[in-house]
Amino acid sequence: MIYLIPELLLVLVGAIGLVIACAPSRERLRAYTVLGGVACIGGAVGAGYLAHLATTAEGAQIAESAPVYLSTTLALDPFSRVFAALALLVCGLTFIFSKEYLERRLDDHQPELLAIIAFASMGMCTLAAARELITIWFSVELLSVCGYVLAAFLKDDERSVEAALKYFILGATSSVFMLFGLSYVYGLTGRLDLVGIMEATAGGNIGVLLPTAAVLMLVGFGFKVAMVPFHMWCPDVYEGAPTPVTAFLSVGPKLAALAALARVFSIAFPHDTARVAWEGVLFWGAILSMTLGNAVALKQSNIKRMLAYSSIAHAGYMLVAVFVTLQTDMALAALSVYAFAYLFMNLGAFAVIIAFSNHTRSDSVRSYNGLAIRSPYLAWSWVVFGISLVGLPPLAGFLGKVFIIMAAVDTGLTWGSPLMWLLIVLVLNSVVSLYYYIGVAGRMFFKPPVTDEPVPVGGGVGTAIGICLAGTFLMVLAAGPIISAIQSSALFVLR
Amino acid sequence: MSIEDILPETVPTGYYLVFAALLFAIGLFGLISRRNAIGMLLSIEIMLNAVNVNIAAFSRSGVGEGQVLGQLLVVFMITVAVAEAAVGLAIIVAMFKLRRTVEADELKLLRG
Repeated sequence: MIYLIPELLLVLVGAIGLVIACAPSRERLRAYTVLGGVACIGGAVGAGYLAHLATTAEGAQIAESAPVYLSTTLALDPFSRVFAALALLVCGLTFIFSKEYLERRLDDHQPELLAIIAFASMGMCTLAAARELITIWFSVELLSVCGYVLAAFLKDDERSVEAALKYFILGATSSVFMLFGLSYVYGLTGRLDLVGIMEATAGGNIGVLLPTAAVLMLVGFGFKVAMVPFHMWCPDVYEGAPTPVTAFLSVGPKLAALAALARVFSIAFPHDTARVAWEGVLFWGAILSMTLGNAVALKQSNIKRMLAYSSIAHAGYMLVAVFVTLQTDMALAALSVYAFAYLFMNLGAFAVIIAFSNHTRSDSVRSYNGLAIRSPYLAWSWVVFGISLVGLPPLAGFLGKVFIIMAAVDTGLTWGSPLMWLLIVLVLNSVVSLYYYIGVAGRMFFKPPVTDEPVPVGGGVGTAIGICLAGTFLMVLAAGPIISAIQSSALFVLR
Repeated sequence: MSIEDILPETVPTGYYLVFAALLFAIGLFGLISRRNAIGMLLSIEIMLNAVNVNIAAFSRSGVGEGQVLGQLLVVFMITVAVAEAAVGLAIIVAMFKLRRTVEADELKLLRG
């Protein structure tokens, strides 16, 4: 089954990591980091090809001939393969930019960290592809449990363990809420597959319980996405966890949960009352995430915390795309494009932080003063990622926002509709976010440095920054092909 | 007089749902009121069992394929809950080794 290659590759990479962990040595670890990273990034290209293949008639035939146990649990459609490519890319980049960090901070247990990241990425693939509730919930648990372990990885560091404990308590609570909703959905419909739930509720006579159940499930997903008001864990966990893990958590689980959110709610709950309920929660969630994320990011003195709030805001932008999934086919394309842009620019920004803190062991915003003198590469990279995160042309972040706005306009936008307000808040917030990204860049260029000692950038993290820079710059070139791909394939998601 | 004479033949599904909802509420109350990490973990397990009761009840009242799905789901859930609790306890142990306490109020290194 060639569509499963991304998942199988990740399991293989993770399994090799566990084998190496039995007999660790410095050389093996280095080889594992580099080869695993290259394999995952290569696999991402392969997954991109699979996504293309799935849009063709030949690909659809392969998907249809899949064995029943596969086709009922995983939707092997272009959308899921795009997110498989994203998962592989996150995994590969995390491998590469963790190289120096692991050598400095962790003497043993290195391969386990990377192996768990590979397994969590596998969870991302299946979560984005899952088409029935057992698989969805299982993937969520796989991602979360791996996340708890990853956050606690510096187990002699009180901050890391505290972050993991908070993550665990709140994460487990949110999964229970999701399951409670899930149990009512199952009870009311007797089905667990998304299409079946939709069919069972098509009659319209569903009462008040189904919307409640849908909203409870949304709470669970909202937690994984860090949608306000379910975001409390996010800054603490991002600050306390080891920085490469923070980078992974800020992209991996978030994107996969957004993909699942879009798929579950647009397929399973498209009917009246349930739809009104979840769209309402999503509307306020998106508005609050964008506004609170950016407003609180303004006054952060720890750069990891600042990026945590920035990632909450970005989740808000992507929730706008999820909000319109039922109204236009463009929405899922917009979500995918924004996800790619977010991956490159956010991982790039985190790679800069990792390179800096590897040398200085400091995450405070003030310590970035005068970085342009100490390391021009890092400073200029931050400028590029910052501009892209704000969404200024011509970088990747701009492309992502354009696609979200295009999707919104595609629904036949009218003045005064809720969607209009979402877009206004989105644009206003982009302006606010300019202040803190560029504020840090300003410190790098215009404040005197504490010391003139240069900041060396390691080979691994330097390469990762290079890849992210390339992605951030070159994504705009892909705009044409993406648009033609959307127009040519009516069936972006397998129902 | 045997036990079958006292109990009705089938307990209506609604009873189970009320019971599960109460169990869930007890768990939620425990989660909010407990300050000890182990206590919070226990409360989460109680809530999880409330969900299990819910699904088991729905599964019993379901028909055909739906019945099997519910039983399957409960078995999966018990398994995964164990894995989750194992990781959670490991984190709590790591916490205790560092701080000699697992009170949630002591978790205040990360603020801002």
